[in-house]
Amino acid sequence: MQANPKDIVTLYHVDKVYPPNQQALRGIDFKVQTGEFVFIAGSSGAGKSTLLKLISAQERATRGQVIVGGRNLSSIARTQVASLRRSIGVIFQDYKLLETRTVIDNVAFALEVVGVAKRERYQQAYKMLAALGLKERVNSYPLMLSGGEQQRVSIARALVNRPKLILADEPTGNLDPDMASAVFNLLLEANRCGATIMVASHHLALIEALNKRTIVFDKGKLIGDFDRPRG
Amino acid sequence: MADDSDFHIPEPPPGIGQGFLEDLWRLDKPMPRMEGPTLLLHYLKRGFDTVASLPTSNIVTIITIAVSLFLFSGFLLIIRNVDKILTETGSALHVSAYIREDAPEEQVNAFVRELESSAWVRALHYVSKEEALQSFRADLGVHGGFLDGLEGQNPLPASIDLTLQPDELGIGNIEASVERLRRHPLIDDVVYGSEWVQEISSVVRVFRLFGYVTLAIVLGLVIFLIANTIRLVIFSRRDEISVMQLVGATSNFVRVPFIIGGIIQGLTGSLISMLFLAAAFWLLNYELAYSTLFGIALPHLVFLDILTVISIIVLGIVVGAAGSSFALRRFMDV
Ligand SMILES: Nc1ncnc2c1ncn2[C@@H]1O[C@H](COP(=O)(O)OP(=O)(O)O)[C@@H](O)[C@H]1O
Ligand SMILES: [Mg+2]
Repeated sequence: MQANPKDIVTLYHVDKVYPPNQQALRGIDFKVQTGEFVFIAGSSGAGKSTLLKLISAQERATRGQVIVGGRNLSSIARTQVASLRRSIGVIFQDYKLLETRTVIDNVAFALEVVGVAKRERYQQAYKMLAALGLKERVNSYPLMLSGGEQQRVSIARALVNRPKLILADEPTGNLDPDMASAVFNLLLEANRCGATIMVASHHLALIEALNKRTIVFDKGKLIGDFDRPRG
Repeated sequence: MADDSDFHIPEPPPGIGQGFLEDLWRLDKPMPRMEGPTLLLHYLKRGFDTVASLPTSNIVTIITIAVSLFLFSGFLLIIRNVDKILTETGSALHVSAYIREDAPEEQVNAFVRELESSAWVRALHYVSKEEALQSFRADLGVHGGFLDGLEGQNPLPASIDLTLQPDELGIGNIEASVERLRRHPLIDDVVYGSEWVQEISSVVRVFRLFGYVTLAIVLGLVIFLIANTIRLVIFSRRDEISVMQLVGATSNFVRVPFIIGGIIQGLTGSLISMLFLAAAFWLLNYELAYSTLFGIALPHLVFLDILTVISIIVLGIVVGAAGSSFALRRFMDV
């Protein structure tokens, strides 16, 4: 199928069945345009994480097409997966920080593995951490930080490569409300800078407060797509 | 945990105003990349990290590689010196091939020319029936008159006296060449060296065969061992690997450090084996220089030639790369 260049993410008749027969997604169709901020809502087990994994090529669709940045992920080569992921920043609920590396090493790591020169990656990592209010923490180890600080480090790691698309899976799941607002502030800011954002969350009050497009899932089906719920 | 009732529109974090990302986000130029020597150096550093991250199992692997290659190269060293001693004594090198009585002359001449141009023949002398008789007569000296009764009948066969080229053959192969000569249709019989040379040369052949069989087994074991160590390293770094893959590292970027880790193990092991072999060799030669056997000075031993030493080191590198590639293919999804 032909993708509209304005759409950064297109799903067409997508099914995902985990072996042996756990159906996680069923007949999903939707598009996300470049520059949008989209919530993926739904209760636990609805298929939100699976959806984000399909978009970041961590899983493959069982049926249907997933097209991201013009690339059809069902026919993508291994080498192309790496280049796709360089344009995607992923933020995890459990942060996935490396405990044996300092905060700045964790962030610079994302630049290192895509081959950025050493001085440049530490400068960029430092600037990003400073922008996220972690200037004092650059030489700490992740386990010395609060949950909110760890989440901000993981956001810094996702942002430092200037991704076109940011996928956040329950980014505020473990955070208190103040921390959660700080995290959303960062995502909104990245969105203002031009990044497309997709946030999976089951936190309804938060979704309502931000008043953004919300795609609702239930038991693997798309049951609603509300563009700007409050006008 | 956030509670549904108390959620509010986000405020910027303390000290950070709106637009704080803007300056950062727009790069005026692309970020400089590692390339050429910088990239190589980076891979090397990461390769060392993989070895350093599990020091104990890596050291055990390196020691095992060193011991295996030491034993194997020890074999080679013994073979080389036995070869040398035997060829130096000279008796191994002289072969007389007796020509059949009925062999046509032009075929014999062609065969002599063929042997002359063979690499394994150092020198060659054709002894005709007349020459043989003359030298026999000379050997008999004053009793030479005993041959006068033959009256034109010459019972001695013509022969080809060969001096072999030891470099081309190696002592273990002399017997095989002699055997080939013996089976030639123009040749009646072949006489060479003495009994003990034959015996030693066949022992050397068995020894060499045993050495290569051992090498094959040892190499298999070493590859398995390196693969297992790299597997442990991969396992201990699985979080890091999955993060690397998620932020877009190419599979080369993930793999190369592990390959280098394997090469470091193989290289270190083979270098250590060569150092120990050299040390053992030096000590042995030192001992021999001051001892005698039944009053005879013992021969001076030679070390492996440089090509063999390089080959063993290269073997270490190849085995290291093979072991880690094997582990990567088997235990890592890249
Ligand atoms: N790796 C997996 N193997 C098998 N089943 C899975 C796997 N991951 C998720 N599932 C199942 O797929 C469904 C959707 O899961 P998930 O995408 O994690 O939902 P959500 O993120 O909305 O909670 C659930 O029923 C879950 O048990
Ligand atoms: Mg989930």
